[in-house]
This record gives sequence, C-alpha cells and structure tokens, in this order.
Amino acid sequence: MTEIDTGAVDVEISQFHYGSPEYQEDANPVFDRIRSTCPVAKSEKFGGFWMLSKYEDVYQAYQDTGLFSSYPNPIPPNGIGSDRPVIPVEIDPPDHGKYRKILQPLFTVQRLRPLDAKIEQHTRDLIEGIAARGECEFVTEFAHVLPTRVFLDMMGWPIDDAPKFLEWTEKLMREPSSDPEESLRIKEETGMEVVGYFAEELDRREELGPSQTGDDADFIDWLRSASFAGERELTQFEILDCIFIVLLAGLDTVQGVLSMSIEFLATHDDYRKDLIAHPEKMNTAVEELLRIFAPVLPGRRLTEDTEIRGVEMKKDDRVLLLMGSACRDVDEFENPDVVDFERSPNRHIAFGAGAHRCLGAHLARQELRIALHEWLTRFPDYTIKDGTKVVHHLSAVKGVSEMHLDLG
Amino acid sequence: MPTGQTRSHVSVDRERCAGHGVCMIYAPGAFDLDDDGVAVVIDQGADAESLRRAKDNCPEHAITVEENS
Repeated sequence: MTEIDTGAVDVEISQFHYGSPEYQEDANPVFDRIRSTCPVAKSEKFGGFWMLSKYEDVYQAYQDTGLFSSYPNPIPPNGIGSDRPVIPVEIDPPDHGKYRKILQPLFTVQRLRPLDAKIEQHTRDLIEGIAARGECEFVTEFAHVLPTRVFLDMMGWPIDDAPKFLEWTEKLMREPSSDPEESLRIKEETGMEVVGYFAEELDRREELGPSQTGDDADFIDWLRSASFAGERELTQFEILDCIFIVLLAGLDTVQGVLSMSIEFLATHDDYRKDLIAHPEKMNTAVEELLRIFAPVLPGRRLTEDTEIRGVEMKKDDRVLLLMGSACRDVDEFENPDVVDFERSPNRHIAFGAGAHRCLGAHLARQELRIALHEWLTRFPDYTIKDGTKVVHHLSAVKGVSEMHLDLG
Repeated sequence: MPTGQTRSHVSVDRERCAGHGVCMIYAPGAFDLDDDGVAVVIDQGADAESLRRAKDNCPEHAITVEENS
C-alpha cells in the first residue's frame, strides 16, 4: 500500500496553524500548495488536526453533520464559550434543528428588511463623519463600527452604547496581549462584562413583565417567549448565548470581508470603475467578493473512523475546513484566481452549507451591498494612502487590522 | 433553440435547501424564502435564463428546472 502524502515532509504544512505570524498577511500560497499536492493534509500543531482543502470535501463535511460534529469548533480553542457548546454553532442534530427553528425567523429577508434603512443611515453618518478629513483608517472608523451599530439596532439597544461594544469586541476579536495566557484571561473577563450587559437587559425585561410574542416581539422578546421543540422555554443561559453569538458572528466576518473588498476596489481601478458604472452588478459582485475573501476557518470533530481521499482518520480527530481554499478550487470554479463580478455559476460556500449555513447571511449581504454602494458613490476615487501598508490578520476569521485610505 | 418561448417548470427540494437565498439574486422575483427560511417558487413564469442561473448558482443543488418546449 502506498503512503498517501498528507504534507508530513513539508514543514509549512505539517506545522501549519492559522495563528502563525507568517500567515497573517496571506495564507493563500500555502492553501494552494495543500490543495494541489496533498488535498487532505495534516498539521501536527495542537495535538494534530486534519485540513480539508478541496471544495467537494469541505462541502461534504458541512453536509454530513453526523460524521462531522461541530463541537468543539475552533482549532485551537479561543476561550469564548469553550466550557460548553456555543448555541447553535457548536450544537449537533437533533438539538441543533430545535435551536435553529427558534432563531431562523429572526433572520428572514422579510424580518430584516426594516434594517436596510438603518444600515443606509449608519453608513451615511459614518461616511459624513469621515469625509471632511479627506482620509481615514477604514477598519476602526468604519468596518468595525457599522456591524456593531447594526447589532445594537437589531437588539433595540441605544447607539450611544456603541463605544462600549467597540471596546469589548476589539478585545474579544484581537489578541489583547502578546502573552497567550494573559490574552485568554482578558478575553474571558471581557466576555463576562458583555454577558453582564446582556443579563442586565434581560433582568430589566423581566421587571417590565411578560414578553411580547409573535410579530410584535423584538429579538430578545422572541427568545424569551420561544419554545424549545414545544417542550420548554429557553433558559437565561441559552438566551445569553444566542445574543452573544449574534454579536460575535456578525462582526469580524463582516468587518473582514468589507475591509478586504474595499482594499481590492482601491487597488483595482478597473473593477472599481466597472462597479460604479454598473451598480446593477453589485449583488453578483458581492457574491464574488465573498468567494474570494471567504473569511472563516471552521473546525469539526469526527464522530467515527473514516477515510477521505484514501487518508485514514480516527474518531475524535479534529478537522479544519479550509474555506478560503475550497472557494478557490479549480474543480468547482473556472479560473478561480480571476475575480469576475458576474461569475456564474458561483456556488461559493463562504457562509458554509447545509444545516449550519450562516443564519446572518442575508444581513451580511445587505451590509456589504449597502456599504460598498454608499462608499463608492461618495468616494469614487479613494486610494490606499501613500506610504502606508494594509495590515492583515488570520485566525478563525480572516480580516484587515489596519488600512489607511486617502478619500480622493 | 428557440428562445423566449420555452416554458419551464421550476421546483425547490425543501430537504436540500438551506436558505442561502442565492436564487433570489439570480432570478429576482421568481423565488422567496418562507418562514422556515426555505426557498419557495413565487413565479413559475419567470424567464428561463434567470431560472437556469438560479439553478446553476444554488450552493445546495436544490433547484430543478424542467424545460418543456
């Protein structure tokens, strides 16, 4: 029997983990090498984990929730909710479907529609605040703020609390200290503060009396009045988890794709001018930007022994789904390295697929479409500021840490 | 192949659909998402080309278009 190459002799592959300094700017070269030389690869880091790089394999992992458990998800653990499964992201069927049934109606296109006007308003407010100076640092001044404000709107909480949330989420999403243990401690402490804010809000609601139900219920009342499979109400812990994940899942993801898209459009005049001249391409352009910048690297755990492309794996082995790689797989996408704002077919899986498909996908799309449209309308000739470099990062979510723009 | 006169019948496999909503991008007006977040066909009369694009772009391969000439 011939040994199948899983990258053991390639140090970059066998020692890969997304926190390494050398991949913060761009992991695509190593992803491309994995995909072309050893599509099922193994990293020895954190006790060892598999990496799936082909679209078909990642897609199958998403679909087969029986074999690929979502708990625990991040590789390595990130200190957020690691003592118990995060609802609904780390819950497997059948319970997953029961939570999903509660959360799904909160994220339908119809229900989110009223938020469009608010996203537009926030976008314009932020743009006006920036415009006079003629330059900005896009991540802090725009990409981080917009989804934070949208989250507060969604919860019905005051925009005045945005600065507090910005500070919290900055700590939760970055490494607040160079010492990993200290970082984890700060994150846990910050997590407690955030949950404390949520819990206070829930207590306040309790004092006000019974929750609104049905169409009258806002996000929190919807959860307070929800029934888990017709059996029981949600516990306060469950409600807090749901709010927490909506905050985190919608923040660095949107921030990342929005920033990388703004960077791409700043550095590719032809694409930027095309999109300004043809705003009708916005929807398919956003899909293509999602494909090319698919930011999330989710993890799975095998529930039994299996074999993928001849590589034998054991029960409880961890598997990292290389989404950024899958979305650039030539077996699924023609000319995958070419950005085509009218690409069709484009079955990208930047939002995942199957049972765990990102609940917030419609909201994310609207934020991206509106923000890009308003930005390009107001600043058609913006550029990366001379003498500055765009700084990127890679962890469970890929993004931009710093990007100075000259607004033209 | 004659264009414009082709009649299509489009359907969504509710088991496969995961509610991405991509069909609504490629065939605006032909699909909507119901309260379960599953795509439903709201206009069988939408033009065949956009229905085909919706089918081709569905990440879950949940859309079937039967063309009856």
